[in-house]
Amino acid sequence: MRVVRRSAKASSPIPLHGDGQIPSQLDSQRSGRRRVIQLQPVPAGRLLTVYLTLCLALVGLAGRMAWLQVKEGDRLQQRARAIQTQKTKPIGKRRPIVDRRGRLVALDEERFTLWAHPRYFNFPGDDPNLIRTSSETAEKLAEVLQVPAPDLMRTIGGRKSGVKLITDLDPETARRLRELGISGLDLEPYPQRIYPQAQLFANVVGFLNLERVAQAGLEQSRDKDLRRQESVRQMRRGADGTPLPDGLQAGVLYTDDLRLQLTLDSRLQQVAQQALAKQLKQWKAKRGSAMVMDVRNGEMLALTSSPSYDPNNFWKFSPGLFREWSVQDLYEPGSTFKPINLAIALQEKAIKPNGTVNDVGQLTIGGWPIFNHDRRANGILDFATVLQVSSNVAMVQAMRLLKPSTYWEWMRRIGIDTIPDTDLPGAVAGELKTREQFTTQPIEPATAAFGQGFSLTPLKLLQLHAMLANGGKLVSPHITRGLRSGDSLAPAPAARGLPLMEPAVTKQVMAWLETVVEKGSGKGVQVDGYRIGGKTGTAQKARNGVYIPGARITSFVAHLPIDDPRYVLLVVVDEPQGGNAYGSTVAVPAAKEIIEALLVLEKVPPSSGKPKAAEPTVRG
Amino acid sequence: MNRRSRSPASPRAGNPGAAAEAAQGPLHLAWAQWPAEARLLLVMVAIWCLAGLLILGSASWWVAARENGDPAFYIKRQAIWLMASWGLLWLAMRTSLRRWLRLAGPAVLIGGVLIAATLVAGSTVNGASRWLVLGPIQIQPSELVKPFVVLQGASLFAHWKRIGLDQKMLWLGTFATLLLLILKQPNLSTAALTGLLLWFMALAAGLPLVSLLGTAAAGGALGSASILVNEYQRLRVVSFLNPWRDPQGDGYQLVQSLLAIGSGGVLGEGFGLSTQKLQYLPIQSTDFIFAVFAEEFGFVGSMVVVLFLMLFGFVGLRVALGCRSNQQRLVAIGATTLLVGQSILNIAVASGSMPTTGLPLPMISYGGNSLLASLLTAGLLIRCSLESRGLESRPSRSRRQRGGEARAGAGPDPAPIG
Repeated sequence: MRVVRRSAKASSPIPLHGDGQIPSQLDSQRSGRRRVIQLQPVPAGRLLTVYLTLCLALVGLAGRMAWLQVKEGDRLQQRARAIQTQKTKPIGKRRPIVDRRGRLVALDEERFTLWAHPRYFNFPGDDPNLIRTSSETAEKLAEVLQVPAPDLMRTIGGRKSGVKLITDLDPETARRLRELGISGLDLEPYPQRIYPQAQLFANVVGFLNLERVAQAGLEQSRDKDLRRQESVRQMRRGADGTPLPDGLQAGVLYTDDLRLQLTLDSRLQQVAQQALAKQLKQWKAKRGSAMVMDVRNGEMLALTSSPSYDPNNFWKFSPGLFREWSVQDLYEPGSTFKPINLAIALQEKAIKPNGTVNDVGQLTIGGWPIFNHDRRANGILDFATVLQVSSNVAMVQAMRLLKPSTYWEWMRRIGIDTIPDTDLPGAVAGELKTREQFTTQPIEPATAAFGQGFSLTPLKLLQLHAMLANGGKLVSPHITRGLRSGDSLAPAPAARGLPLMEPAVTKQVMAWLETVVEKGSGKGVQVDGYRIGGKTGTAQKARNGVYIPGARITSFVAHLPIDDPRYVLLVVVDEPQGGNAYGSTVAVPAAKEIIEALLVLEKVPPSSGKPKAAEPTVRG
Repeated sequence: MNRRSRSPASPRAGNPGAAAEAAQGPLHLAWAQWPAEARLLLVMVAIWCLAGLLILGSASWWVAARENGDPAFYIKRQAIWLMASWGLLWLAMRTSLRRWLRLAGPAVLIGGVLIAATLVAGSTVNGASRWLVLGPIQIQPSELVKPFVVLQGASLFAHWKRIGLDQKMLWLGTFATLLLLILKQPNLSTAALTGLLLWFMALAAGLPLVSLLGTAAAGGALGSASILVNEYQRLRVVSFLNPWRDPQGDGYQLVQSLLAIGSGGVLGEGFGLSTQKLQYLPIQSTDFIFAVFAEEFGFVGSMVVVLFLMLFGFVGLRVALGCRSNQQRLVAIGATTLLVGQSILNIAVASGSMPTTGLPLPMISYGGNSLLASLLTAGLLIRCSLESRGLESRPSRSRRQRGGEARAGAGPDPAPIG
């Protein structure tokens, strides 16, 4: 003890100062008895031991940190990045299609396939090693899926993994499945194309088959534009999902919300389809088509045909319905082509606006007889009357004044035998006789004068009538305005087109066409307060150059308003049954309904100077 | 600190070196006269606190913005607690160690009673009731009692051989009860830290190695028993051994912490640029704040921390060696052990060297109780250093007779104001 005390003294050279001298409360009570061992200083060695122990721990930590941050750093960082980085694989959603006003025509919805792996079945809260039986799991699934458990059990059928349990689950059911938290279930998302307007746009939009391959319509022709440009995205995120700016790839934050906007108006489309269907039913016709075009820029406001099909259940319909015949099938236009011919003759100054022709009722050209439809002679006619009575003979007389070669050149120039510049899928060119045939055989220009002997699509005819209405410009008929992002809508394109005829010429023809509605075969489409022009047509159908007896194709084309033409409308009804089936009886009533709706939907003001101008009494 | 008293110094016999400064200012010593260790310690503690505030700012900014709508939510409160804690440090430096030692016994007893109260009326967080809620303030008695355990431990072990068996038994019993109460909360980490602290102080005091080893064995057995009895502790130990076995469940915290530390690499991501703190790492403002630091500052930063702790420990050791009385020595080594040891345990938990426990990193983790306790401990350490330079602790009797601090400097025999 003494030794220790001495050494303690040595370590504190200033003795008896501070606590060391004055016993603490603890010792003081016993100091009297134990004074000999009162001073036993804390050994420096022990203090050092404590410090060295701490240092040893710190060195150990340094080693641990070196292991974690230097040796294992890269590996741990990779693991961390794998957790922090979110990869999004695109499920291949296509862009939606909307109509002129933004109403959805086609869109992709997320659907789910439920896969089951019975060897991993485990409920939340279970021992991780426990495997639940398939029947236990099926019981739980049956509640959510609304499918009897035995059916599920049959599907599983004792297999251990990779059972495709059910498909076509909506997102809500998928969410409820996830909430069950059962291990061994796998929800695989896939997109499904939905056409909310069903058959209304089927003829132009087309559909995707079950493998999501476009089969018809725009889906097929604009497949590339409808596919989203999506790549696998990588983004670092906070645990709450907030994206981090660090290491962001270019374009990762870009979301493709482009929608393909159509020029079609679904309400007008609806009216057109109903009007057409009504006439088809009444006349027991084979098929029909109705189109409305904006003559200034070629935008189609309606393009409907009947019968149509439901693209959501395309497999229930005949594949023959999947093509739009008004764009893809040719027919001989008949009387509806007469105004075009008159415009050509006027443009070439072969006839005068105030000129007349003599309708003798019957002609023989190149050995072929040519009659009027009623075989009556109308005498001396001005051209307005020629159109009103739709005289074939008078037309032949008028077009004879034009050299056949010039006539043929014009048929080429207006593009009878070329594919129209259009975005409509599958558009085809018309058929025109060769220049040699046309110039050497007199019957060719003669039949062409009343719209037979050559063929074109209803779409092409509409384009030509648009040319009459817009002052002589050939516009491109189209149904898409373009891709726009979000809810924004594309503006209407400016007026454009290839000028072919003088405005004065087409204006003259329009004036004649107005008289057809005022007092000719087009009376049926008169609307109070509006100046409307039009022309009916009833053509014989030909197959392989031979006219089919009793098979007619009736049509009506309308232009409105005459004072500032903006729209042309064409209704074609194929093979209406009955002796009284003419353009004026079959096509005109449908056209009237469509025109009334069009005037309301497009807010067309009543024509100025029209004596009957009253408030529009339009029934949309 | 360098405020000077108007009255002349009155040197005391036998203490010529320090006497000149003894009567000056509230701390009686001009800054220039402070022992190098005390000055160094004060600067280091200041750096520690400042760095802690910055690290806490980085670790809590995002989460605070998400959860409280105010990104500065945590650092504002921490700054207020820091001011209060520095006041306590100031008080610790001004008050004589003698007074602190006299306070220690009752404080430990009161602490024990409060810990017992948490078992009855504590607010339970994560299955552990460690908190007493008093109005707006939450008190964690097990945290606040630690500096007083250092003081009382110093009193007990300073003259181990001189005190009677009854005293030994009384205080060892008190400590054992305290540890059991903390264990009962359950708070294994604080209990283990307090036990280790007492054991190291006993080791420093020169107690016989045999009894120390025996105690260690008993403590180890107690710890093992606690782990076996408490499900949550056993799970933590199991998950600590292989956190990757269940990275989404029991091993989640540790795995996220390891990923954070590893992501730091050698040089770190840079201040404020930790990704793991973005709600991947749980409790990133308290228990796992070191992981955020290590991710942002890398291996280099971790080494700076380790070296800083070594230096702090070394300065603490020098203070202990320079002290004149056993109590001072033990308070100094105890305070050093508490601060450095708690840091080691926290880092060891974050780096997966130890089972996950909930110990705050002193002066860095968010929490007022921890700050108060840590800075009081640091203040006691600095006080030890100051007293080693002759800043004397006079018997309280004489102070009471003199009545009041205000006139102390003007008296004929000016004593240091404790």
